[in-house]
Amino acid sequence: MSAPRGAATGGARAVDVRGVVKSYDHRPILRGVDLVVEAGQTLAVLGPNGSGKTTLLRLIATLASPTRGEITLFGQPAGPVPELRRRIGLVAHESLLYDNLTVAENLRFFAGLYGLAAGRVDAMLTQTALRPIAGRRARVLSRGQRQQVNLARALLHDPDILILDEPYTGLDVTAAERLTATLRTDAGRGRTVIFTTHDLAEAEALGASMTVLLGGRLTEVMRPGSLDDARLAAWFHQGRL
Amino acid sequence: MRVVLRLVAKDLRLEWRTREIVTTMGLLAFLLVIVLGAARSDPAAAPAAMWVTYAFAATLGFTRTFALERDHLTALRLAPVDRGSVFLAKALANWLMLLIVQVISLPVFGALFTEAVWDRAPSLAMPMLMGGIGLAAVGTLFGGVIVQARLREALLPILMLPVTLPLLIAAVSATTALLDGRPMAAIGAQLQLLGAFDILFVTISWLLFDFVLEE
Repeated sequence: MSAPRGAATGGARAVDVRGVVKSYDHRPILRGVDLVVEAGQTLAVLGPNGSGKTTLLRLIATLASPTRGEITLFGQPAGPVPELRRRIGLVAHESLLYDNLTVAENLRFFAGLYGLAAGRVDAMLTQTALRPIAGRRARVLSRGQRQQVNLARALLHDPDILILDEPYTGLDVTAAERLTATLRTDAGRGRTVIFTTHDLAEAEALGASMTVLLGGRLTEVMRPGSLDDARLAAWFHQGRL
Repeated sequence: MRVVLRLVAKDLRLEWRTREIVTTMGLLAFLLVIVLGAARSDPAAAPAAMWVTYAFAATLGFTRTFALERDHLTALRLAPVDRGSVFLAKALANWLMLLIVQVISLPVFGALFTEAVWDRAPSLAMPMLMGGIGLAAVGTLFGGVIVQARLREALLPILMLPVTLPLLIAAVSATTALLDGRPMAAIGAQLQLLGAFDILFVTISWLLFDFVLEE
């Protein structure tokens, strides 16, 4: 495995979340979250629907600010700073692709925003095996294909940290396996990967460390394989830690 | 500048493929001209009818441009591009689409209101271009502000029309003078007002768009 990316520029910690509270309309979503993600680590954030997983990812991705507490990415305070955002790749729950542009046009457009050469798009189409559908418009792609293109878009600028919000939702077995294979290869390159899921099997397939978000709070980070379905189901059923 | 052109090219390519915005704006403009013409096809009413049509077509179209972009704003926020560039690109695309609607609706005004529209078309270009820039600047700013709102289709006219009132009055006044056969020199004050409005709102919107795009 290669050395963790971003470690040289920001220390071993890719993400450091301290005492983060996030409220919307005075309704607390996160109630004091602490989390450390080491550079190069793959972390799964598990939790039932509505537990605040997406909110946590949006905060880490600098798309929202915490109501209280602080977040640092590679040693820098998280915020709308272009240099910091350039180090983030995001696969959001919604597709960020333009439906009426082709796969190649979507990738070229985003590559242009990041000032990347056209060759980078060609390389990405090959790397992610998307070349056969490069000329298809995004709106005609299957959910699995869209997710692969979304992943390619998020990886175009070679970010140090990849954030994925429930990337397996709506994928069939084949598409899920393909996504896992791509992510496993990618994680092997030393990139920090954080993703949300409510399925323990998805976390284990990626060999990810795990933490569970319930009632606005996180458990400690657990090693891969240290959590079982029965314990997780009991937590989900209880609705709090 | 390259980012602005890239963003504009993307918007125009999407519009070319769907023709969603220009078609809806054009259809509304056509219906408004017909209704206003049926009510009073008096040459004196032409300038007001023109600018009422342009203003309402603009509010409809500009709401759609941001509604179509809503899901992609997250990716734009994360991209290392100047927020002012995003504003300039959106405003430019909006202006070009409004311009198309202005050009294609002009013959209908000529047919229903006054033939002077045909004779004075080159002179009318100046207030139409300058008025369009102001409408696009204000519409783009407020379109961005309300993009996440549930009632955005209703909100944009409420926000945009009062702010653009000085621009609309100046544009109607300039158009009236030109259709009355007066020379360009006679509308210097109106053009100055339109120019000042454009500079003011392009600058303000460009500066504020950073806050508009962030949460």
